[in-house]
Parts: sequence; C-alpha cells; structure tokens
Amino acid sequence: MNETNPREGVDVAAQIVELRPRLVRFAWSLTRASDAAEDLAQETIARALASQWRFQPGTNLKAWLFRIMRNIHLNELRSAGTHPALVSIEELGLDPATGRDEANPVEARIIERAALRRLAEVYRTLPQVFAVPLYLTAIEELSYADAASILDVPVGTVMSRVYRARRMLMSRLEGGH
Amino acid sequence: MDACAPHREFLAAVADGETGLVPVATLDHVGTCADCRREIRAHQLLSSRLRQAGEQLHEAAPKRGRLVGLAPARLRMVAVGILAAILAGTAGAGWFVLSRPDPVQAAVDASSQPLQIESNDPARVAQWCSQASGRNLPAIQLDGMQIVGARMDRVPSTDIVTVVYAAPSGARITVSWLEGQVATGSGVEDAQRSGHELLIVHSAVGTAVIVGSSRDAMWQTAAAIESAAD
Repeated sequence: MNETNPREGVDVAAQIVELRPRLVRFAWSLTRASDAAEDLAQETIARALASQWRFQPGTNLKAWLFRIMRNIHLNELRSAGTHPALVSIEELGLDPATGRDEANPVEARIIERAALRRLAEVYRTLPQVFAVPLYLTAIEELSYADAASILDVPVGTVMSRVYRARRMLMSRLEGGH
Repeated sequence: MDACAPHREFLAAVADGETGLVPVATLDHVGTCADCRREIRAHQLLSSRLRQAGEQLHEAAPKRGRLVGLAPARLRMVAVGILAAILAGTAGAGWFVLSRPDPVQAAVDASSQPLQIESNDPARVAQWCSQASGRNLPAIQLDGMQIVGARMDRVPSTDIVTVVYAAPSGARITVSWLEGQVATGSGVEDAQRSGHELLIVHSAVGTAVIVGSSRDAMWQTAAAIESAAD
C-alpha cells in the first residue's frame, strides 16, 4: 500500500505528518478518549520526527509509527500506575465449565442488517485487549505479523484475539448488547 | 466435541488470508465444512462493515490538524528533531541496518542455550511450546530420535521456539521455529552462521532452522518437516 510503504523521493517527515489522521484513530483505540488520543498522536509524531533516521526504508511506516505510539501509551500507563482491565471468561464467549469456545452459529444476515452506527456502538464495548488487534488487522489492514510486532505479542496471540473480538462483536450484535 | 472445535480459532486467520499461520488440517477441514465456510464469510463481512463504519467507530475523533497549533517549545523540539535526523541521516540508517536482529543467527544462538523445559514426552513439550508462544507448532516425528525439551527466545518482531531431539548415539538436533516467517515457497537452504552449519527449511508449516552435530540427522529432520507439510 502506498500509504504504508514510504514513497520513493518523498520526505519521510512529510509522510509521517500525512498519517496523522490514522494515528489519531489508532490512539483513540488505545485511549478511548478524544483529547488523550489527540495528545498521544501528537507526541508520537514529535518522537517519530526526532528519530526518523531509525526508520528502515522499505518497511511499513504506519506499523513503525503505531509501534512508537503503543510504547508511549504503555509508558504513560505505567507512570500512572494503571493496569489493563481483566476480561471474564463469559466475556470471551467461552463456556465457563470447560473454557472452550461456545459453538454458537454465526449469522451473516445479522451483520448485514446491523446499522453501521449500531456496529460502531458495539465495537466500542469490546475490551481493549481484543479491540486493538481487530482494529490493526481489520480496519488498518495490517498483517498479523505487523500487528504482533506493534503489540509485542506472539502472532498466535493476535490470531486468537482477532477471532475472539469478532466472535464477541457477532454475539453482541445478535444479543442486542 | 464437535468436529469444528479444534479449527474454530483459526477461522479468523483464514478469513484474513493469513493461511500461512493456519494448520494444514484446518485448511482441509474448511474445504469440506459448510459451517466453517459460513463463519469465515461472516468474519470477512464483519471486517468489511467495520471499515465502512470508519470514523463512526471513534467517538468524536478530532479532525483538525494540530501541528501548526503546537506550543513554541514543542515546535522547537520538532524542528530540532528534523535537524538531528538530517545530520544523523546516512550514518543512522546504516547503524539501524547493522543492528537489525537476524532471526537465523538468534536461532543458532538459542540452539546452544539451556532448555526451559526438559521432558521426553512430545505432548508435554508441545503443550509447553503452545503456552509459551501462543501458537501451535507442527508435531515432527524423527525416526530413532527422542525429544528432550524446548526453550523459547524472543528477538524484536520474532519469537523463536526451539525443540531439541537426541539420538541414542549422542547426536543432537535442534529445530528452531521462527514466528511470522510465512513461507513464500518451499525448500531447504544450506547455510552457515558463527561457524555452525545449518539448514533453513521453508515449508507450509513454517520456517525452521535446524542445527545439529550430524549432517545426516539434520537432513533427516528437514525431510520430516517437509513431509509434515505435505
């Protein structure tokens, strides 16, 4: 994709600034608050510009920026003494008795019928630990390997979380959450 | 347990075209299971609808540009950053390329490190590897060799799971599975790192680096990995 692989002859700094809207959206996924997202995106741009020589030409600029942003965010959380919320086994759509995935059939027609606004509302209820990998792979269309690198987790974890995120979305759309 | 259960967690990856991460058994199952294909279509549809929802996903996401609205101190920091980047330029890029971790070298380094689990039980080792790495590794059977344990190492962007086998003769083989190295083709590459001879196997079940004290045993291992991919 042109927007993620820096264009030859185009200043990396300019491309970093061009990606600002994407950065704000990813920042929102991390912070769930508009003001905090704005600040986080701004801090990411400032740091990326200051260390752009670290960017390796030919790799994914957007993934590199997202990784910087995620590290800044984690450091901010650590400084504030905040820990991610735990997710219950019921929230995961697992059978509490067996820990296995409940094999509810998925109805495409429910997804087709759902209004986009309703879908967005349900998406915003997802626990962050699942929403962020889904955001990176489904909306930003990054590879699982890039998402794993940004989040510093094994690629198998990304795969599992994307699956769970979609199952939760489907289940909540169906259940009128 | 229904026949779909072991495959269900991989369906999102199939829907996203990440088939290099999906066991061959799951791809075979999906080919014949209407329920799983229906779920894959639902996953794809959901992603498509999320992309359509776009801005609506983020409550009142700000749209205005703020670079021009930065405080003077921050603007100075950005300007200094750009200047530093220009000065650092070529030297910095060279440093980065040189300092980039080589996953194959990391696999060779891991092959001589102590085991983190010691067991002759393939199921126990497989379970440990799965828990440590969050991924399912292919089960490789090596004639005349016994599994002795495993370890996991992490270098930036890559997790390496190393499984160690030993023969009664004392020959030792390590198979290091590189994460995220989705194969674009198949084949065995003969290579050297730090004085070690090694084989790099690219297959549908993943990329593995084989290091060992016996060339015959290394090639036998490469053949076993390729057979697992068939």
